[in-house]
Amino acid sequence: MNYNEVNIRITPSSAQMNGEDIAWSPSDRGILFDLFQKYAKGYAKFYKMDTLSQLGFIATEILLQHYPLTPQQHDECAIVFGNSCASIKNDRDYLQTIIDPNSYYPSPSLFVYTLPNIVTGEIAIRHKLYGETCFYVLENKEQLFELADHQLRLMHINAALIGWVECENENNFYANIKLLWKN
Amino acid sequence: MYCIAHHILSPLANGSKANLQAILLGESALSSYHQHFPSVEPFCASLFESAPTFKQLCIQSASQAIQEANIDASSSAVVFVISTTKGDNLQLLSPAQQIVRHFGNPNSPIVVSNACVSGVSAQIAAWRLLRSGKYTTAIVIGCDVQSQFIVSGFQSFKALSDSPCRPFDAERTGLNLGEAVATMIYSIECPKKACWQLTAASMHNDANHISGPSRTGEGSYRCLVDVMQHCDTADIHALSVHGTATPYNDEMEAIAIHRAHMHEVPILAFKGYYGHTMGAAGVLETILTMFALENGTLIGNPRYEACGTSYALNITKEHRSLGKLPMHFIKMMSGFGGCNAAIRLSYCGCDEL
Repeated sequence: MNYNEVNIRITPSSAQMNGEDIAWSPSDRGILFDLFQKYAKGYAKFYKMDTLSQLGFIATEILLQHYPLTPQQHDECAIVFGNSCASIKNDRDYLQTIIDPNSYYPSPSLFVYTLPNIVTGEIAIRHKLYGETCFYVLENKEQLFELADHQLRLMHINAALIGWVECENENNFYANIKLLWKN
Repeated sequence: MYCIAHHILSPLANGSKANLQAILLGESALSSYHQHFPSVEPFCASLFESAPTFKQLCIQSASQAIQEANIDASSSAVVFVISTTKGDNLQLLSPAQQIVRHFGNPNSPIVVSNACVSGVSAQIAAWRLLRSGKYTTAIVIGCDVQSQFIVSGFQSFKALSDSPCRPFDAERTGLNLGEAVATMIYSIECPKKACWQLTAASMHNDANHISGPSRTGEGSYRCLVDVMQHCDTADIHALSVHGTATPYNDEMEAIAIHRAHMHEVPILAFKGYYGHTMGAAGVLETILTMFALENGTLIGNPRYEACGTSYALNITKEHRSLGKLPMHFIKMMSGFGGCNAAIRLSYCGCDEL
């Protein structure tokens, strides 16, 4: 059976769902915060997240608000994400807390985000998704989509979020997330 | 998918067989380190003396496994799946590309970075890749090396024990970190000798907390239920657990195992010998479980004195004899991000060939 498919893309300067621009009110706090204010205001965990998690979180939030899953799809929805630089932006932020012996103060709240798969956990928690979550580090997004798409069909999974979420630094990030589901 | 060769290189020994022999003798490389990395507090870990790089370890272990399997790693029908959390100094993709190039393999590497679950997730990825028909052989390498970065982070979490860890014991206080590399080569073709076959796999999220294990063991329980489909508990000869020796992880696993009615299955836990080897753990511990069961032994959990979880499990300090030909075992893992994974491996005896 074929899957229904919708997608979202977010860059530092644009957000599009299924190729159409998403309207939002730009402020000087950046697109992720602006979209958060519009779509998920009140979800305080957002403020603790690293940029990679914020990116994946808000993109998924918008998708699932427009295309809600059924209870059974929720229970089984898989999250298969990937990128080429893992958690490098947050790794560097954590390094800053340990690199200077005179101000050595390793931060547990930063350390927990030094794994790229944490973004999949944040999304699973927010939407109560109990399906499989996995993170791959690959050369390009085509490789991820091929890998994930094949897995989905092989495993007969009834809903999945498949996403390329990349964050090199605060000003350089990109998300392209697809939601696939069966009727 | 059949495991046709494997190799372990750890601070304890070089080679799967040498590693099994060492733990049968109760040896461990866990020891105390003072001022080993800048600024970090003293810690107990299992580290290589010569401080090899991630890439060196992966190439060394994979080379030995490839030699044993007698395969051509440069073939386009061979895919490399690499399990790691921190790779080579925070770089994951570039060392993986260099490893693949070292072996002249034309395919892009698949790096799995799924926290502590990575080594099992990598085997599941390999299984699916082989089932796609695009490849005949998958070389799964699990590896992590320790650093100031990792040790300081776990210390900030207060997750480390300053003495050799005690998984599931009442006196457990935390985990030890470890270094290792382990390689498994999986093929779609049966090697025409007794071997292990991956027969079921599952991954589930707890949807509960990014760093704390679920109080109901939800994701882990769901994984166990999945891999137990079409299989009797009596035919599962070992549950090779995560068993980090942190209070919460072990408690969560005990709850999940009870919910799945598997508390009578003998538990194998290897962190008491190797510490938590992170990206290597899922591969390392799968190999050790296969090899121990083939050897007819249920490996003991060193320093285990008294049950330290709400639900009792079938754990002993001493090694036990399996007393029969192995049938199936389950390898289970859980990690940050709420991820859980389990695989079932089944012994393919000569009578089936």
